[in-house]
This record gives sequence, structure tokens and C-alpha cells, in this order.
Amino acid sequence: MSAPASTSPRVIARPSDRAEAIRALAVVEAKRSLRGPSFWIAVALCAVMAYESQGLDWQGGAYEMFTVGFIPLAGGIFCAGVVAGSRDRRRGGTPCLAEEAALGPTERAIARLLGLVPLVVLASIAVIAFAVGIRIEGGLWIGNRPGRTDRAVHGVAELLAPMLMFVVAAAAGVALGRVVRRKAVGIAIGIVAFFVMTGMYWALQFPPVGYVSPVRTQPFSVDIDGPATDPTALPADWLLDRPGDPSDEPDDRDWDRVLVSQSVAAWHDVYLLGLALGAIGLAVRSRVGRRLILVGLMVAALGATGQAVMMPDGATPNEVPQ
Amino acid sequence: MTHIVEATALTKRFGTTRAVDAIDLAVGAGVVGVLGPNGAGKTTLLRMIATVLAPDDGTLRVLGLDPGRNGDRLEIRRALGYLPQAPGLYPGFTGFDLVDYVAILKEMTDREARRAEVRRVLDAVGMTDAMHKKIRRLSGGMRQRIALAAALLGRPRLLVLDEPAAGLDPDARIQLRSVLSEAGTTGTVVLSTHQTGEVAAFCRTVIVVDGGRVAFHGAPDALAAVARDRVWVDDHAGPGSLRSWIAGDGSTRNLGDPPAGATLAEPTIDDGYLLLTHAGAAS
Repeated sequence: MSAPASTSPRVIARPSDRAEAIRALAVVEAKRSLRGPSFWIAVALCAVMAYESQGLDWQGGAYEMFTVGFIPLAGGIFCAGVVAGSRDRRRGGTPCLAEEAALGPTERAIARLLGLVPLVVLASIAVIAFAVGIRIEGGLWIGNRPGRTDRAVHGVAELLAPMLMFVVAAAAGVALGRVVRRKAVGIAIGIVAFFVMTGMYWALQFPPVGYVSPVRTQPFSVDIDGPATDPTALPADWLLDRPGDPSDEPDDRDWDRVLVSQSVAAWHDVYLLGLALGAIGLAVRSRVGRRLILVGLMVAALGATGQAVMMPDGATPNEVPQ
Repeated sequence: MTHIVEATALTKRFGTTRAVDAIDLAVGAGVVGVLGPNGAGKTTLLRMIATVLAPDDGTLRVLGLDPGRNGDRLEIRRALGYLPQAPGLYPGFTGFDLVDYVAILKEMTDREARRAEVRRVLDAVGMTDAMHKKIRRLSGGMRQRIALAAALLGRPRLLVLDEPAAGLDPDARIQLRSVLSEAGTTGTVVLSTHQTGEVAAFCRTVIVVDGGRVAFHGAPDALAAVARDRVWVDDHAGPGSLRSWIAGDGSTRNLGDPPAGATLAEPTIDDGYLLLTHAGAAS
């Protein structure tokens, strides 16, 4: 050690440096998030799922998997959020780093959220790239004749859903990271919560859970009539699922209408927006955070209600394929 | 004289325990050593001065500002460096990255100036060679030096250090003294320690805390003088001694009321400190 020279100038921070300091911290956090393994493992998983979904042989299968295929990316972003959020966790009476520094827990949480923006942007670019690729290919197989077309592309509302899911994952990760003592516990809680929210309908056949699931898959199947139905008598722009398709239950002898509701997709986006606001509020805490939680809850409730209202008659909300 | 830290009836309770019990304090410039037995309330007092713990009662002013007010607290923090007893370092960061991270937390936003400052403080604590090693790979003493470097960032007007010499080897400890003495010439350093030798070596003022109260506040010489005429050397523990121990030469050093004819010894800071804390315990 050597004594610091007394002639060098004191490095003084100005009040206006506060926002700049949050930005600088966000840059550091972004670099660390990009260097972390979780996102890149998720990218690899996502690529595997995209490859596997090529071979799905039920109508709407590949279309449905478009949304599901981005769940690993959301998971990777969530894990990166937990890692960033848990930096200042207290263990065994250990105070957080530089507790006395001008940037307190709220500013640090904001910076950590901002630090995850590059991951959300990269994942969103992947969504757009896949969507463009699907459009170039002419869409995904969604239903049987006699529709004018049996292929479809995802609408804007459907494309927004995974992007909003990434934001929810990032904020939820930071929020959980701030609470738990161990990162592994936070990640485990996130996985369990995700499967409770998405898998409950599938496990318990409890349709309302479909409205609060972070993942909304389409197309829907709407029962039309028995096997005696003359498909040529149905409107020409309907896409149909004929009885006896591989994905049908053995005793399902009905024709089904296969449809994608952009209204439901849009209300699901509203629901995700509410979740994102609430999760950001939980991550930031403070007075602003509490307001965000309240607004988020209201928006999420509105989104869930909107989905229920706009759900096509006779349709059941799809579950995430397990 | 302008006081950097002023406390009146400062109190902090944890449940039914009064960790800090109505302390009155006025600290000026220079290096101030806080001595006291384990559980005396030193850490709690330092945490309140460092604005990371709010007092339950009493008033506290740091750098002339009230840490209970948000705006004032921020201003204090901009001029403060704090080394806690167990700093929560990030094990996955290198020493340089960690100190740089803390510099950002302290609102040092100019990248080049910040990095120069990080190198300066790492050099000051002798960590230049190991600054690119991950924290998890550093020894306890090296981690302590990294934490100390983070506290020194920005040449704070007030440095609050909770046992800064813990885990340091003798060489590093001696060098620490020069760093803190230098810091004490331009600002105020409040440090808690169990090393009375450190206090004697470079503290201008010493505060002895015992049972949450200030038992002594004055110059190190005055602390030694507390034990004047109350230290004697014998070949055995005296019946009236509050505390006795065998010295390096095999003689027994006694503290308390000496018996008639006892050979009185020149008191040290250790004697004054022990007399105060044991007299308190005895009473």
C-alpha cells in the first residue's frame, strides 16, 4: 500500500449524475447479462424446439409451437434477471455492496432491469426473424380443406405476445432475485410458478386458468357438428379440422372449425402488459413500484376479462402442449 | 470547531436490547478510533454514522446534515466512504470490476476519470497486481483490501471503517495506517478496532464504547492516563485487581487499586481501556 497523493483532485458527483450513473450501471449489467450462460443456453434450446416443431403433423401444430418455442428464451431472460436481482441479497447478516452509496436499491433495480433490455431486444429480434421466415415460406399449416387456404401467418398481436413475455420474465427475475437468498431457489420458484400458471388448465381441465396463463396458444378448435356434416355447406373461408385427424381424441367424430382470434390475442397482450407492469413494480419497489403493481394488477385483470369476453363461442382456451 | 459528526442522546434498540444507549458525541477532523468489547455497540454506532441504519431516538448530524432526511442523506452519501465489517462483495467480479461497479454506485460517471480513480485506490491498498483476479479467488485479507479500496473512492470527506485491519497481515496493517493517516489529514476517519496499538499509532482521538454508552472520549494519551497509579507489577495476581495478566517477561501486570508498597507501572492505552471496560463491568 502507499498513501494516496493529496494533490489529486477529489472526484465529486453532481446531482445531475444520478440518471447518468443509472445508465452506466445498466451498461455494466447488460454486459454481464450478455456474458452469462443462461440466455445462450436458452437460445440453443429454442433452436432445438424450432427444429423439432417442423415435424409436427397436426393442423396448427407448428403454428401453436411458434409461441411455445420462445418459452426457453423467456426462461433464459428470467434466470439472467434472478442473477442480476440477487446481487445485493443479504446472507447471514452481510450487508449489500456499498450500502452507503448514492445509488440505493431502487436505482440499482432500475439499472438491472435496463441491463436486461439487450436480452429482450435480441429475443424479440428472434421472434421477428422467425415471423419473417414463416411469411417467406408462405405461412404455417393450420387447417384442412375446403378453406381457400390452409396456411396462416401470425398477426401483430400474436407476435407481440412473446416479446411481452420476455419483459415479464426479465422483471419477474429481478423481483424474485431481490427476495430470495439463493439464486437457485429463485429460479426454482419461477419454474414452479410458470407451470402452475400455464399447466393448470391442462392438469386440472380448469378453463379459467387459460385466461391467466402467460402463454396463449392458438388456433382454437370450435366443435361444429357430427360426422354427417357436409363440409362444402360451411362458409368457404372456414378452416376445418376433419374427424379422425392424428391429434383428435379416438372418440372425437366431429368436424371442428380451426380459427385464430386476433381479438383474444390482443387482450392477452393487455394481460401480459399488466403482468409486466406489476413485475416491474415488484422489482423496483418504492412508492412508484407500488403504484405500478396496482396499475399492473388492474391492467392484467382487464386483459384476462377481455380474453374471456372475446373467446369464440364453443372454443376452449388452448393449453400449453406438455 | 466544526464537528463532522454530532450526536445527542443517540439511541438504537434491537428488541429489548439498547445497542446504542443515549450517546452524546462530537467528532472533528482527523482519525478517530472507536474501541470497545464485542457487542459494545461500535458497529451499530458506525452504521448510523454511515447512514445505513436509522436511529430510534436522539439526533444525529453528519457533515452538518440530517441523515433522516432523504435529500440530506443523499448529500452525506456523496461525501462518505464506508467499510462494513462484512462487506457484501460479488464473488464473480474481479477486484477492478467490483471497485469500478462501486464507483458507478457512487455516481462517478465519467468513464476515464472513474477508471483512473479505481486504479488509484487499488494502488493505494496494494492490489494493483491482483486486481484482475476474481474475488472468489482472493484471500480474506485481499478481499478486505478490495473493500477498503471501494471505501476510499472519491476521497470521501468522511470515512467510516468497521475493523479495517481485520484479516490484514502485519505489513499490510502498517501500510493501512499511512493510507488512513493521509485520509485523516484531508477529512475525518472514524474506525472501530480491537487493536489498541493502532489507536496509539495514528488516532488523534479515541472513543471507548461499552454497553452502548461512551465510556471515554479524548486523546490516546488521556486514555492511558486513566490508568495512572492503578497499574502495578507483581509476581502474582493481586487480591484487589480488576484484571491481571502475565506479561512477556513473566511478571504479572495488575489493574485496579494497588496494595501498599506495590511497584507502579507506566500505564498504556491497553491499561486505560481495560480499566474502563472492566470497571464498568464491575460496577
